[in-house]
Amino acid sequence: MHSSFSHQRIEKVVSNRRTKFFATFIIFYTVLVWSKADILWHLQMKPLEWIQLGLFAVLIFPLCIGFLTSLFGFILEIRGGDCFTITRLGNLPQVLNPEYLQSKTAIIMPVFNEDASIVFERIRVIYLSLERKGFLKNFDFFVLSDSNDPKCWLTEEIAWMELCRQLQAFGKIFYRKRRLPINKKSGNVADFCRRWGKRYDFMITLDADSLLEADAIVKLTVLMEKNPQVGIIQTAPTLVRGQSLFSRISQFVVSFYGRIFCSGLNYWQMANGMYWGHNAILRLAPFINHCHLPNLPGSVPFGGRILSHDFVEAALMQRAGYQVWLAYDIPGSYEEGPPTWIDFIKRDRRWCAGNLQHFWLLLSRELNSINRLHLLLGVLSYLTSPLWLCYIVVSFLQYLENLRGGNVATQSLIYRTFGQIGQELAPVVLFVVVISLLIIPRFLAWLANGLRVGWRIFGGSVRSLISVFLELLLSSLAAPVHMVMNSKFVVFTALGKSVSWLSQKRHCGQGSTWREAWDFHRSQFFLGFLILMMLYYHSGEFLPILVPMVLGLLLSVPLSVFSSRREVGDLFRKLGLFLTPEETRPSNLLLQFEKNVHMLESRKSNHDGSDNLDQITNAFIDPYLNAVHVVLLRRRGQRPQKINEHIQQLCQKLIVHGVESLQGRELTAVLQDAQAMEWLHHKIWSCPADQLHPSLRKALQKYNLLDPQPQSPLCR
Amino acid sequence: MDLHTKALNKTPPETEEVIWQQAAERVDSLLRAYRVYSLERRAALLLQVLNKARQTHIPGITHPVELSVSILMAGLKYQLSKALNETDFSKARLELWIADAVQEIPELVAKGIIRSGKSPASKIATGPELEVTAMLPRPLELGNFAQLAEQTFRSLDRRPIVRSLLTYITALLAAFSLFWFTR
Repeated sequence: MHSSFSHQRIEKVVSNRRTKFFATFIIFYTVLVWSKADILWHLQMKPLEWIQLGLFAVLIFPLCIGFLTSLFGFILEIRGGDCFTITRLGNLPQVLNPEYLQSKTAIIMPVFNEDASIVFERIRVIYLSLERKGFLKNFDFFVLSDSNDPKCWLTEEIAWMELCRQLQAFGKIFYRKRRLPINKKSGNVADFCRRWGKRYDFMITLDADSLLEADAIVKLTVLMEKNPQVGIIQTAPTLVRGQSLFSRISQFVVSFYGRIFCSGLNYWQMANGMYWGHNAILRLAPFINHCHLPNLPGSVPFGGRILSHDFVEAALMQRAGYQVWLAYDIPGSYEEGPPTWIDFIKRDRRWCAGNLQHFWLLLSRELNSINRLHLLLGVLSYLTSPLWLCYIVVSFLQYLENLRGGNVATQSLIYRTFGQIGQELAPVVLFVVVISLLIIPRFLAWLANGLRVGWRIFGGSVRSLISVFLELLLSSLAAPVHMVMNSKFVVFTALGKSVSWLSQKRHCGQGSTWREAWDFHRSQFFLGFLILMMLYYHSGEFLPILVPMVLGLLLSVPLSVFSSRREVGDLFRKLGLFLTPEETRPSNLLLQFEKNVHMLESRKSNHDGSDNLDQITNAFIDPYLNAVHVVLLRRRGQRPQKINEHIQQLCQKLIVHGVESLQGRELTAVLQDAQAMEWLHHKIWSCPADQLHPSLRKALQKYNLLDPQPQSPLCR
Repeated sequence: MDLHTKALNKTPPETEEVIWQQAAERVDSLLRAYRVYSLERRAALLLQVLNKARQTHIPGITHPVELSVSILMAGLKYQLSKALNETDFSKARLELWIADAVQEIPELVAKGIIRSGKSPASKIATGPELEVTAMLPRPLELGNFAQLAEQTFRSLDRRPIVRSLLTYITALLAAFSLFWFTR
């Protein structure tokens, strides 16, 4: 191992850095909480004041951590970057030759009811980019499906077959569908590890919306090879392909502010990093031996199976003595964000349950303090929403109490809201400081980006500054909605409502309709209206303080609709706002992927759309599609006669009453049975027309009307 | 008038000729489904199958459609297994598709279109050869508080009435607190 990367040296640097960071944090945090306490102590500390102080202390904690992380990141970036990143410490060669790599790596992509054509296009561009660089021999690809929608499942199979046929990639790209999606995504990955994990040294995990440049893949693999003490290297993916205004703002936020934040994060976490579940490389042997998730106390949603697995896996990897790094300086790692605000909030519902569950792990004696801090910040990211709501309610109650006590009339408005200490400016200053914790990092990022890479790739200095202001305005309007929704999610979780596993929407399409937005946001609108009325009639002076909140709630419907529209996103792009380097200077991989997707979409729009409807019937009738499906199914051995009879009955029902007559589970049972699929193929073709259901008869006649091309989502 | 309409809508009687016509249509459809695009080849194969079906008696199969399709499928299976050395009919069909050699049935091997055992279809699998490992959950020491919480959760799970009561009491306390501070 290289001397510069010795444990002793790293430990010394880590110790110095953490001392600096957390000492600053403690001073900063203490001053803020003390100031608040001081403001409150000047009046009599009653229960409400104690509650307010407690809430303030909790709420200010993640804000301070976030602010200081950005500040330290900013300082590092303007001083030429961090010397202690895994890419600088890890002996990464200047020129990467195929001979360097000795290891075997599996690139896995777990999927669940995704658009198969897009999923396999991603695999195609990554595969081809590795092939062009000459590194293909070291990598195998696995698409690990848990799709429970039969149409998605069958489409995936055909898309996989077609891709392998087109690339001559049989034996390099694999497709595996699980019969039972036990433990969802983490179970899917664990299943891969159990079957084939031993064959590979490393595993690169991708999400269904991920893309990785060949260079990034090779760099990650070389770093793992050269640093055997490293268990996980996480890249910092940037969001790409945003079309709606919402997704364009999201990708601007990640691209523009992400760099200093990640730099700051790496400053204090170093080898105790996080794993975000995708766009990362993992060392398989320790992952298999040490990272299988334990169950938590109690049952879902509080306990039971761990829903959000990635943070915990990183913690378990570190418990086993391996390092986890954030390689934020490796470019070429991409993902896609939710296209609309509604989809973003829906995703938050799932993440909320998973993050709150991590509360249990905070108590674990076996995790290190940095891991616990990560988990705590994850918990607080959702728990702070109801706490902010409580804080506002408590402030309002305090205001009412003061009003009743008669000591309000002589005091200024902000003073009355944030403290009761005569004419001093302390409450105002504290208010400004707290707000600055959210605003300053944005401008630090603007400055750092300008000094580091120049503003041109973000649309220029003025345009990028306007983008920052606009983003600030829109995120301020969105914040109350997130607060209300996250509070609702926290309450739902506390009441034991579990989360359903749904696939994420990837395309904005026509955006959210007014009806959809109204159905989703009406509760927030009514809440905003209620607060407005209440304040207007009872305590109008409190109103200006809550204007941003009320306005955000009242405008949630139009904001949701307009931010989901592609045309609005395009308009802002034309104006040069919210531009990201991936838009102004896209890489070849992104360009190629975009070209391929465009081709697929134009093909889809030219098609009559009957593909999906016929997909299941085709699996029974079409000789090749049936063959693909049967070959990929595991042949069952002897099984009870009762099951055989049941399957036989289902097959007969399908022939006489059509595919629609089978319930979801019945259809899945038939589709999962290789013998039944073969039997049905033969039986449907040899069955006299009068004994066949009209839909099957029609499907057979289709071959008489035209010479169909093989139905494939990847036909080109 | 009614009688007249009924007569028009009535399907033709299932004479032997009509049934054999159905069989011919079905065999033709199946060949099209196999993407045999050449009309000449399809016609030749169709004639072969129908002639054989007229002469063959398979026990339990009487309907010409069933008979003809069974003969065509059995023939394809035989041809493919001979050409590809593959007894699994589904795998053989797949191999045919991958090799894009449908138009050449049955002279696949003779023309060197598919080399037995060397086709990519032999690599079609859900993954490389299995090397099974045990990936077992590692217990995590969560401390005394978590243990106590686990016991509490378990006992509450067993007593739904107590659980409901606790929920109501908490809600009442929250409502009372709100009332107390806003009274």
